[in-house]
Amino acid sequence: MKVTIQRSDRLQSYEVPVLAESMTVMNVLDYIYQNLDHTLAYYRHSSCCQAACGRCVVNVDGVPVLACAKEVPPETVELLLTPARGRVIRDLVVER
Amino acid sequence: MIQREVVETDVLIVGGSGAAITAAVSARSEGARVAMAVKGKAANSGNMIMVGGGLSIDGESAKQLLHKEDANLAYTKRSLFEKLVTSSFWLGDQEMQRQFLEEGPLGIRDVMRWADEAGNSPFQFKPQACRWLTSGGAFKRALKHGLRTDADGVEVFEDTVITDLLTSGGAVCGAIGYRVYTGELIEFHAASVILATGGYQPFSLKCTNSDMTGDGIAMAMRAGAEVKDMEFLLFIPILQEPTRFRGSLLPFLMTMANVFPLAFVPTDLDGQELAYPEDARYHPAPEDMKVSKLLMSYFYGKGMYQKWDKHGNRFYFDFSKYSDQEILDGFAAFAARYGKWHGKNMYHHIDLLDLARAVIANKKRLMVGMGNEYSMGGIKVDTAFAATVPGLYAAGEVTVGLFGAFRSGDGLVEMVANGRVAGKSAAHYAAAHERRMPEDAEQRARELLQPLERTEGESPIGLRCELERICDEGFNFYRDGSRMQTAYDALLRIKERAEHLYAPGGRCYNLELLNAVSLRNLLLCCEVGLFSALSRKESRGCHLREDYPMVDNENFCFSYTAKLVDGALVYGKSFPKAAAFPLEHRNFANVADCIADTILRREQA
Repeated sequence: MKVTIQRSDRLQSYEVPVLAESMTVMNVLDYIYQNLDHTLAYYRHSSCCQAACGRCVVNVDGVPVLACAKEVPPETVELLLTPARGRVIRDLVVER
Repeated sequence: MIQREVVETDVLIVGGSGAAITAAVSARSEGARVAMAVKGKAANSGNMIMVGGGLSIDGESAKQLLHKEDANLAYTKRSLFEKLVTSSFWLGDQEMQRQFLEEGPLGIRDVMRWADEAGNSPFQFKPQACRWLTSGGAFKRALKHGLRTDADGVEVFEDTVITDLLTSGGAVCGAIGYRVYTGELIEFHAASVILATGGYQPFSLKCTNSDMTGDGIAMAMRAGAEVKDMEFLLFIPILQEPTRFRGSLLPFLMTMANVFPLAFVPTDLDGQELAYPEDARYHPAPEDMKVSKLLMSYFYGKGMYQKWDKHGNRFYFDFSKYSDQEILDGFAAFAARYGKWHGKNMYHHIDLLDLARAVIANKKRLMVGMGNEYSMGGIKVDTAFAATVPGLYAAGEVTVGLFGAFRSGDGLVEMVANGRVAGKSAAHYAAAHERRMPEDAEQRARELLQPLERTEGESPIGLRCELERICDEGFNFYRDGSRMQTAYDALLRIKERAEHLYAPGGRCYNLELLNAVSLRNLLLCCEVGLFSALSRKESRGCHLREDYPMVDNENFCFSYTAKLVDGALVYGKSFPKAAAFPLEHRNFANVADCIADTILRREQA
């Protein structure tokens, strides 16, 4: 799966394997950060990963979703992640 | 000198969940100037928002304080006290346990008032068990209202990570940290500090907020405070798969017959049943369901541990005795119960009918594991919630003493009961003591920035993932000496590598810097926890050993303590006092028998 992320200064693409039969956008971001790029910024401090805190909003193909709750089907070929509405702090992190 | 913003206050509270907010309300009511530093958002962080069940208090308090005329009066403070003592496996502090039963209902009364005033927070009372069913969402709305209405004037610093306490002359007099979004350093000068930062959950499978990295416990140790009972970590069945729902505590709710209508068969991944005896003495009544967490850890763990190298922390809830329709109906009935809090057919982000279909598609099996829910160990405090270092207070899961080797009370009640007292105590201390100028602020600031200044080194997230793997393998809910020793040795190697952490990319929302802070704290907590676990050559509460199954009251009815002296860990022992309830001197063949005989009081057939 090709994952393209709007970084602070550029679009950057990563090749991410199918991690599981079902995974979330947060799983994809965690994989990139842990394995491919330690400088990626996405909301991950004080995070619940259960859609309880509502803070990990990101746009998937232009639509705002909670990264921890939005499923990424295994057949996905391309994924475009951009910051949600708001003042961008860094990469996908917006002030909320 | 490293540039940093300075904030002066009387009482600094670190944390933003239930204990922190009730402490803020309490300290403000004593007239103190209060600042709160919250890693995330106030009333929207910590484990409070993850709550899946509810809370209970004694019947008399429910009737007198909360006006529940139908409350079960047989549910007395005395019976709850005895339950706390025995469930702690006699390591709990009996004075703290008595105080908890007095302060808890008062704190809950405040929360209920805030919930009523907020107008949108359903709490459903179940009179027989004196229990209110609620959700994390309902609880956080109540606390948010309380912070706004009853703690007027509290300065709240959100998205601010506190990295170390500051000291002067051996007393705590502030804290230092940074703003996550900008990386700007911030230094608090305070007459007293309350840590309300939660516990530590160092495993890959957990149902808790990402904040649970032992920050407060480790910071307190670096400031000279003593901790204890760090080997006791509580586990419950939580979801392993589907991956998108991993970490949910839903499976634990499925173990309650009065909540979830389908009865599963627990099996290992080869389909072999994980034997849980039919004997009634091991089957708690609904009002004792908390202890089922420990009984499941014991009985399922015995079976799972035989194949740990093959399957690890994974097993099935097998529903294959039901038809597809029965499974769908069962999940729908469960959904109806929780719909008022989570929305139609939902439990948090889980579409329950979607999950039921996933179970059916997986040969009617749900893959679960024993995930970490809570840590009993933490900062040693007295009944004023004062730590062993002057000026330092603590509240909630970050503390130790109330629950000993196993938590039988409610975390929500613990938060508010502790927060009330800690806030008052810290305010009184602040009123009686001048604010001091920290001696170590510059040094702590340099330590914080080191990972940013290196040009190469170890990745904090890389080491953190390694630490989780080590704990998964050797410090999990079922243990033996060999695995723990391997884990401990591996941890020490990580500790050496963690001296060279590297966080590239500048200060602004730097996840590697955040993980550098968390890793340092988790490492210290795990080192103490593993060392204590290795030393405890018996089983007790949540410390379940394959090689030492006996509850050995003759030789181990004490807590392991630890503190840092000149940078080195010094371990000790702390013996419980029988203030109002006798200690147990008999040994028991295993934890399950101990539970049956002393907590459930079931005679052997």
